[in-house]
Amino acid sequence: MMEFFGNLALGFGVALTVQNLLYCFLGVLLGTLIGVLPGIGPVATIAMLLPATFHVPPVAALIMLAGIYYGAQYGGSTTAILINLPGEVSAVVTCIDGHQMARQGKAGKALGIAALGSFFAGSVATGLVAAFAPPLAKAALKFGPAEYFSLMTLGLISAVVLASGSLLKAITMVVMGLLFGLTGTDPNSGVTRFSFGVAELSDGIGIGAMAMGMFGFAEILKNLEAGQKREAFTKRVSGLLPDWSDIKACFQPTLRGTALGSMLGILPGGGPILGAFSAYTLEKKVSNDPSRFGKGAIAGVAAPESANNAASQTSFIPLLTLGIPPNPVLAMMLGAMIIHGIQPGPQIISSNPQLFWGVIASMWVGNAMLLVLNLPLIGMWVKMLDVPYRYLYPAIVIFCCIGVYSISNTAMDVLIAAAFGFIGYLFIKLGCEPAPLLLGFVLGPMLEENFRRALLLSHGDPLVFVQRPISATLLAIALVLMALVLVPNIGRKRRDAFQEE
Amino acid sequence: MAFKVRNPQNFWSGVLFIAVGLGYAYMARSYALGTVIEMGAGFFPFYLGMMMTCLGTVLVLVSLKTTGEAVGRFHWKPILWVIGSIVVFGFLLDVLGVVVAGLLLVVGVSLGGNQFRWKHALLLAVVLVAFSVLVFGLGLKLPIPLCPDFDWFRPFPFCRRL
Repeated sequence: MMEFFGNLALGFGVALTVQNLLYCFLGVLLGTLIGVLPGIGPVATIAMLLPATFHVPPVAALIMLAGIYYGAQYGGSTTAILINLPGEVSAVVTCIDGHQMARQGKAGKALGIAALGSFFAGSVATGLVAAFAPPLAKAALKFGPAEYFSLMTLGLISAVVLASGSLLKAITMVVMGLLFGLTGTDPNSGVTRFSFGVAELSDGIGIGAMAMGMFGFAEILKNLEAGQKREAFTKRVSGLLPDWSDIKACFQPTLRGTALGSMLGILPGGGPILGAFSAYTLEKKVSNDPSRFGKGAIAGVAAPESANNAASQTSFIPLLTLGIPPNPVLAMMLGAMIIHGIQPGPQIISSNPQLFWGVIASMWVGNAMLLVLNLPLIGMWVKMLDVPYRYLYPAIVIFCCIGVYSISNTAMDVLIAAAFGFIGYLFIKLGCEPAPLLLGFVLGPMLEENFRRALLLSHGDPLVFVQRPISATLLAIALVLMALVLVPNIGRKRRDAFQEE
Repeated sequence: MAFKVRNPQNFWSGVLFIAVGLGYAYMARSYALGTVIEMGAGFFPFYLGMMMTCLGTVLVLVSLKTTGEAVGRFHWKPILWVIGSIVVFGFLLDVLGVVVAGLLLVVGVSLGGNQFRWKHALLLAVVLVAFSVLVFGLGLKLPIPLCPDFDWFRPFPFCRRL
């Protein structure tokens, strides 16, 4: 216990330096901004800003990038409530009751509850990360290549299970991502693979270029074809602070949302979106009067908003302790760590405690800043929503292009991003989700490496994956997950959950 | 027996997956496969490619039985303007710098939208390029070329090439 507080003290010592406070503020500010603006998400933003962090220390860089991620969860709810459009995917559920509240003239209350609930959940989840990451990392130090292979397989399978739409398509997208990830020089033999004679591809496809194309450009193409119709309540936002009866009504939903979100965030493949959906469904189930949901129930805002923020904090646990990113945003964070020369994995806590605890402490600091940014300054964000899309998307495109060029200082990456923009658009038309592909892409090289090493150590005996107890358990969980989806009843529930979009 | 595609989205996804899978498996053949104990560079991608082909085949077969959504119409105007402008930007950036290539990019991308007006697009382009040069180029010092790569721009300090 003493150790726990000692570690936190170390973390706050790092997070509260002037420089880190500044980067934290910058991160959450940008995060809120892009969260509010529909059409640009944290993945593309982190890719865009990666080069800007090159000359700052890794701790400050990660603090800022993390701030963008959870800041976006706060901002996304503002757009969801005011214009019934998820500023961020994880705010999809908030649209349902949040926008109804806005139509009833209670927009301010909904925004206030969303921000306060998020703050509460963020604080609790940050504590959870601090408490659970170290023992997990200690356990992970014993992992061999077989365990890592199984763990990544589990991560990929859960990503597939949680993707909306066809299971078969999601699995194939993961495989395609794995293949894309193998582009470049094979570390074992030095052979350059799948580079099509392009010199720049011998280092692999840049994750920034790929993410920006599929999540940035493709999204713009999609938005341009749909004439945007918005029903905005941007004029009268007042009465942000909930009164006593609201707090009583929201207390339990917030607690349940926080608990559920924290748990689902840790799961590889989980994260804010799933947390929000499950929390909403749970509230509907436990409510005395489920018919109120969809008509402006305050619990329908509090629970999913707490859940998505809790999940976005706890999803750092697998990244920081195992080096495995549970969702595309954290895959970008992993890329950022590698660019900054930090090898993610269980050794981070012992080899780089300043970084580890500093980032964790900064999350709490960042959440506190977000509360200030979102409550008193809400008017400013509301104004952002009045910027017409025809001015917004050219700005996104030029910033993305400059960002992607600067990551490795080559124009080839701009062309690759353009190509992935078209590929991403094609996937949208074919109903294929890009998130599993990006996860496969990041894990591809690691998966191959550990697969090869495991079989080398076992002299080619594939049973090694089921003979080692931890590895076998992980694979068993993956199998159970698959089976759960294939059982028609649960499969249908999964579809229903996603249909509420 | 007549084949009828009842689920076009899945059918064409399957076709795409088969093509990509076969392509990768074929290319992987040119790298050493190796043995299970000491795998070569081609082993993992070859089997992944085959796996992808199988999954794609299943998807195609299932799509003949189940019903599903049609593939949405491709809106070529935004695709060509947006993607085209980005490609042009990629080719021109090293030669013309952000100042010129950026202007072309913003105007080109704006042409892909619905409510294009020259005056608005040009104004937006000037504002965005100025912002990019000041914030990204001079402020954050990102390694992007700012000015055209011609001799008579060299004396200006912010035009210096890295």
